[in-house]
Parts: sequence; structure tokens; C-alpha cells
Amino acid sequence: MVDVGMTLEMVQASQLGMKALGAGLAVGLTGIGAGVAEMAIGSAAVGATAENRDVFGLVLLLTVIPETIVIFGLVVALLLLF
Amino acid sequence: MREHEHEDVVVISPSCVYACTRFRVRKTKLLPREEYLRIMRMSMPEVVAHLGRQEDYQDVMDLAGEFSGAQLIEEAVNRSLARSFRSAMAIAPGDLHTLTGEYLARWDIANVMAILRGTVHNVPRRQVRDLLIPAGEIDSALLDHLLNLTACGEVLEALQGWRLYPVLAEYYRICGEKGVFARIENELYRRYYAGLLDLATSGCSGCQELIAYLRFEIDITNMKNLLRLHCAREACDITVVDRTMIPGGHIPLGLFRRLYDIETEEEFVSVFLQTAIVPILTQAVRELRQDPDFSSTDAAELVWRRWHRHLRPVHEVEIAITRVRLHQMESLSRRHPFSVLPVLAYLERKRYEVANLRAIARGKAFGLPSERIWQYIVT
Repeated sequence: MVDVGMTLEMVQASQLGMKALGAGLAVGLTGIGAGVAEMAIGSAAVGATAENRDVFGLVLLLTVIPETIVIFGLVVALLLLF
Repeated sequence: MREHEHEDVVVISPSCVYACTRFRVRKTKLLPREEYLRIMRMSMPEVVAHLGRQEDYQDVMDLAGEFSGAQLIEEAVNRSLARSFRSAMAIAPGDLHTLTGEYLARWDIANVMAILRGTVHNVPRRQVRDLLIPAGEIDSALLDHLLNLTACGEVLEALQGWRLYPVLAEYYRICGEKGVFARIENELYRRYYAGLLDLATSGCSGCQELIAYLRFEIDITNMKNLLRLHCAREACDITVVDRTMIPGGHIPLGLFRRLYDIETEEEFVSVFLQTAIVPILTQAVRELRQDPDFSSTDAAELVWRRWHRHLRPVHEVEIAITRVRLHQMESLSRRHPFSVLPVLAYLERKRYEVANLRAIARGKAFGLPSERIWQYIVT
């Protein structure tokens, strides 16, 4: 809600702040999501590699798949800021 | 095992995921069915050489100077079993560790009974040593120490730190007393199952399925014991039946007592059909004979025929039941991938892999035909 006593500069600064906050949340929350997803995948990947070294390449690929969520977050953040 | 559990969100601890994945990968490395068929076509030296190339049985070559033939294979597979189970204990975290330790206590019971019997009956130490599998709480150092003791009193004293020692202390008052070993063994297994069921009831991921599996194992053991008691030559009264039965199964002990006294086929079949054994037995015989029309009544009649003629359970059927149970356990472990079930599925599979290799080695040593040996293989 805009305070009637606010100047145009103040409103613009407030909007910029909101955008920055949204961008931060987009990157931060997707980062947390990716971390939670990677926790289980990483544990399983290490377990599988400990028993069979041949699967290292495959499990590394599987482990980084949740990183795509962070990339989506980053794209959203960049769209918000620029 | 589970760190936070709410109605919808379940977060499984990373150490549990890590351990369960390792067990699942390990299970894929166990010998497949085709491998047993190949091994059965080999001569004994070829089997030894083949096992020497397997990751799990590499020490067969180191043991070749000390043992030979079937004994060499038995020694190598027993060592592999003990190593695998110790490694399982090292990997399993938290609840999985406790449950695995409790589950592996059955090897302690087998080891202690072998040592006590060997000590009382003066069986050569080497012969007793071949039977021991140090997969439980009692490690090889303590087992070696127990083997070197000459009196059963000394063995009991050395076992004071064992968790099931109170049972020994309670029942084993006179060394060498006739019939005491059977009583002790029954009581040890009763306590073993009671402890395992108690632990599983305390709640964990996959524990409900584990309890069902254990309860069915108790039912099958009780039924086998009942058939054995019935076919024993000396008359046995109901107190022996009570002492031998393990409580905790799906089938109440009263039903076993009732079965023991039945003399007519109709009554036996109708009572037996009420038991939880029937569906699995039917499925096992159906798969064994490849007869889709084999019904639960046929299964009950099959048991009656053995019962009526005072015959022991058919080994082939026992193996078929084990096979069905293992498959059920594996499908459950796939449904609950991060629970105690993958651990148990691996431990059971490994146990039967070793049993299969021992059966092949002993069968070949006695010159049995491949078809006969195949009846003892659980795949």
C-alpha cells in the first residue's frame, strides 16, 4: 500500500527493493530445494560409488540434476532485476 | 532412520539412504541363478578357481594350502559370510545397526551351541571350528578362546558378557545332562525372536513388514518342529510340544497343540487351512511343480499325507517356501527402499548364497548328480 505522503522517488526505490527481495527469494528458495533434493541423491550416489566405482559418472550426472532448479531460480531473478 | 515424520512429509536421514543403497548394490553382486547352473557343471578344482576370481571369495586361494576340496570351499564361503555380515554391521547406522545386530545374534546361538556340544562330547576342535561362523556379537577371538577351553563350565564362565548368557545360566546347571542342549537351544531361539520382535515393534521404517516376515518365519519353524516331533519314534507329550514351539508367530500355539492331537484327515485339513502357512505353501508347491491348479486344499492334504505317515517335511517343499519368502522380501524391499528391508534382503540372500555353494561343494564331494544338488539350491 502506497503512503500518500511518499514521493515518486521513494515509490521507485521501494519497487526496486521489492524486486531485489523477490530475486533473492527466487535464488535462495530454489537453492534450499536443490540442497534437500541433493541430500538424498548425493547419499545414494556415494553409497553406490563405494560399492561400484564404475557408476561414478552416472551418479554424478544424477546428483547435479536438481541444480537445474537453481538455474530456473537464477533466470527468474535476472528477469526480475533487468 | 527417519529424522522427521509428519503426515505428508517424510525426511529420511542421508546415512540411511547411503547404507540402504550400498546393500542394494551389494545384492546385485551376488551370484545369479545362471551362475549356479554353470558352477554345477564344473569339477571341484574348477569351482575353486572360479570362486577365486569372484570378489567375495578371493581368499579361497590363500586357504588352498590349509584345506582342500569341499572343505576348502566351505571354509572360504563361511569366511566370506562372516566378513559380509561384519561389514554390514559397520555400515548400518542408528536403528538399522541395532536391528542388524539383533538379527545376526542367530549366528551367536549356532556358534555357542556348536562349541558347547563339541566340548561335552569331545568332538575334535578342528571339526567344531569348521562349523563356526563369527557373524554375530561374539567375535572370532572369543570363539577361538572358547574352542581352547576343555570344560563346559569354563565355556559358560567365558560367555558371561554375552547378551543371552542369562538363558545359559538358567538352564545349564549340570554339564553334559541328557537332553539339556535341545532345551537350551529352544529357549535361546525363543529369546532371540522375542528380542527381535520387541525391537521391531518399537517402530521404524519397514518394521511392520519385518514383523510380518519374522512372524511367518516363526510359524514355519513351529510347523516344521511339529512335524518332526510327530514323526519322532519316542512318544512325546504336549509339554514337549509347548517347550519346542516359539511364541510370537501368526498362528497361536493353541492351534499347534490342537493339530498335534488330530487323527482324522477332514479335521486336520480344516484346521490347517486356517493357518497363515497355507497361501505361501500353496504358491511354493504351485511354482515347484509348475501346476497352476494346485489349490490350498491340495496343500493341506499334502501336509496331511506326511503327517499321517509320520514322515519328516519334504526338503524340496521347504526350499520352495524359502524361495517364495525371499522373493516376497525382495519385492517389499523395493517398495520400501530406505528401510530395514534392503538390509535384511541382502543378509538373507547372502546367507542362502553361502548355503547354495556349500550344498554344491558337499554334493560334488559325495558324487551326487546335478539334478539332486539343484533341489537344495535357493535362487
